[in-house]
Amino acid sequence: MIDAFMVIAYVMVIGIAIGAVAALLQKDLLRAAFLSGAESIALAFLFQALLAPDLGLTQAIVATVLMPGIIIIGIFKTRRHEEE
Amino acid sequence: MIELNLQFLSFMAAAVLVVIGLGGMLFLDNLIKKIIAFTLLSDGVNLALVTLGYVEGGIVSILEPGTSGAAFPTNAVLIFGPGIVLTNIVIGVSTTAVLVAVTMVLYQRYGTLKASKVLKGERK
Repeated sequence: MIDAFMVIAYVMVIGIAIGAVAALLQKDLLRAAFLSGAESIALAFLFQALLAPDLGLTQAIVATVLMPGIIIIGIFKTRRHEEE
Repeated sequence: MIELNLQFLSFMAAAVLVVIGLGGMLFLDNLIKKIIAFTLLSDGVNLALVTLGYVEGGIVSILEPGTSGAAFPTNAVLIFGPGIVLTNIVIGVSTTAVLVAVTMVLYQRYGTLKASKVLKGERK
């Protein structure tokens, strides 16, 4: 039985896997931080599908905006591109 | 034959996140990449804890005025796992902040973000 809810869950799981792999494969660290944020927002939708809306809201605000923000501050204080 | 329901799918996503995060923390050389891999690992553990409490066809564990009190304990999802994870998300952000601060100090001292060069201990 496949309904619309399960389709959203499939898309989010695939998004999580692709976002996680793509974030660690980037040479540009700024792009890696943004991709980890994208993975985080897909996880927020999956929390919503798992009947935990409080976690979805917290994940969408805290882990999607604040966490890449802190990492981006660290990148600007150090260096942006991965050295050879 | 394994049924592809939401719980199994979420467990697979959690397993993927834990494997990617652990592999990234162990095998990547860049310190910022290690921090990003740590956040992925933390997300995977959170997802596994939330999925453990999921009840198939259940309701959100909020007692609304229309809900009958007798049906609520059997239908509602378990609240213990999400209660822990809500703390863990917020603590994860502050842990990341501490890790980024340590990375900035290491960069000032050694002039590089490569963990292998930092471990050799050559000052700038």
